Amino acid sequence: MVAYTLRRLLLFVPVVVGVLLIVFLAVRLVPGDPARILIGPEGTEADRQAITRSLGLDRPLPVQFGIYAWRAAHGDFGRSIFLRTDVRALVAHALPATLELAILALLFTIVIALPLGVIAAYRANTLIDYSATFLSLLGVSMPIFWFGVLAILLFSLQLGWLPSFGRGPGLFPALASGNPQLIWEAARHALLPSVTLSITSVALVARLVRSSMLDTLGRDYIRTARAKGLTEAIVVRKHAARNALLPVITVLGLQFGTLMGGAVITETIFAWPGLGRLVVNAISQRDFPVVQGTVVFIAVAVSFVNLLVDLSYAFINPRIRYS
Amino acid sequence: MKLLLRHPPAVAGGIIVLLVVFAAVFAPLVAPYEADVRNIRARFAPPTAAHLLGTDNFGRDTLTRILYGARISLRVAVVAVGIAASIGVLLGSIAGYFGGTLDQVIMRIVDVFLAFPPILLALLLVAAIGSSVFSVTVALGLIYWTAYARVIRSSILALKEEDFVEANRALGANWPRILFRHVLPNAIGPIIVVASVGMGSAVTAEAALSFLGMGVQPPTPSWGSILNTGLQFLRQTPYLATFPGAAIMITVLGFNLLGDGLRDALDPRGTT
Repeated sequence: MVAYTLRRLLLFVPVVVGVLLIVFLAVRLVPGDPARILIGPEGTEADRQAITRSLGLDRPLPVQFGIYAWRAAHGDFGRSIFLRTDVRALVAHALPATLELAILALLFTIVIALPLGVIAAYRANTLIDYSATFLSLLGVSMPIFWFGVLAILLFSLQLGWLPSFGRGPGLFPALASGNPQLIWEAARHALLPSVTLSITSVALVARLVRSSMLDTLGRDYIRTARAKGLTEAIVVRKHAARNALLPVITVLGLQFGTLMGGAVITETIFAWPGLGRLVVNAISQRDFPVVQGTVVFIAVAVSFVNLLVDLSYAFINPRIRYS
Repeated sequence: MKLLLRHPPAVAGGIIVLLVVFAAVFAPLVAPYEADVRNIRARFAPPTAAHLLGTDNFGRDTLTRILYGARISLRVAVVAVGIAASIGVLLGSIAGYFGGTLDQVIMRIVDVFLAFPPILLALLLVAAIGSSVFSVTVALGLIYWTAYARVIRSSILALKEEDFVEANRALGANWPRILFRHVLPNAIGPIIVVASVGMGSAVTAEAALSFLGMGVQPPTPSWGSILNTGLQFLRQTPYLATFPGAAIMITVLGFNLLGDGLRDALDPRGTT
């Protein structure tokens, strides 16, 4: 286990270097002088010389990458062209909003997908199963931006129940304040975006729970449990679901990447002030330092979470032994 | 093929895909209007006999634009999947067949690509090389190759232990011949499944990029950009955002159903 953990941690290093390399090279694909691109149209000649010197842009490409990676390792991605603030500060400022959305979406995924999958498997090949399976197929095929737009159309414009943009006071700060009025306001703002963000994950996880549960329900030990006279509720909940949900934990963890991708779209629709909107705005303003910093941050965070998921799975399931 | 026909959802998926292909190919013939006709007096029209799916902010017929949008969607998806499959199959088969350091290096590259949420990497590439049909296609092709590489690698790992490979080697065949003539044709099934589901992903991703304003640029009709316009004018007309989204979902659903059916047909052990 220790050796496996160390090996996986070691393999994390080339992934991070690879992520940095791709983001570094992507900006080099932009036609023109990289120094000009990084200071923006309003940068002065002095700015250009300063950035050329500090990033070594007049030196060979491998040296430039070395300097870039060294600074990135220290969290230094330079300054935003438009906002003139440190990229690190912008990312830190946007992160809580995105985490809030991702945590809520993951919560919805667990609350909706697990029961849906379990029931569909338990009532396999009945109308309930077919409806659940069809719903999750629709969910997998549903573009989340369309779902978001339809949700705004129905709940904000037609019914007027929920706000269609912004984070309001924010759920984390509201919960911290303990003010019920603020919490209510924050929850109203968060509901549509977090449900929208969860759609793909709900559908994927429900499909997986169903097939994992079907597999488990067919096992001999389930027949034994039934034969010894246990109630169905106990057989399903204690014997089947606990085993069937083991692989689901991994998939839930891996949803973090899906959610981060979805956040890019969801935050744009709902004007949610998180990392996704930060990166989309930065791209449309050609604010490359912000684009680089945010993309690297998200990619490294996603692969780190995936690493933790892998390690925890090996820990939870002792039958798994990695060589 | 026979197995596939016995799978009703797969048949439904196939029919949907054929309909979308038909719409794309014959758009100029079946569309009620010409591609870019503006009619300022008929702005934001609701669905009527003259405009079955309503009109947009320039009074352009939405049905016509959705039919032409199918061309963009499918063209981008087919070429992107082609690029992705070519890169993935090439790298994946090399990794699987040779193993060792080469395998390690290729699989680490796969890991790096998997670290990025696909849409984010697509945005980054499109931001760098500019937004056009061409750049969206290339960006999506460069993103989705990892699935093919992983699938083909594991098939080849299993296949290369088979007797017929050993027999070929004994006969003195060189590696490209063994790999591309004998091993690869036996590993093609799973690739077709990945490609079918991948078509759906590519259609969604192109629409997402265009929706975010980073993909296909107006006035070229793309489902994603029509939806984006629809979002801007949601108060004037709810229809403009509704119909292109439905087109995307139905198309993706078709490819997913087809992919699921192919998976079951190709793998008789599959339980679902």
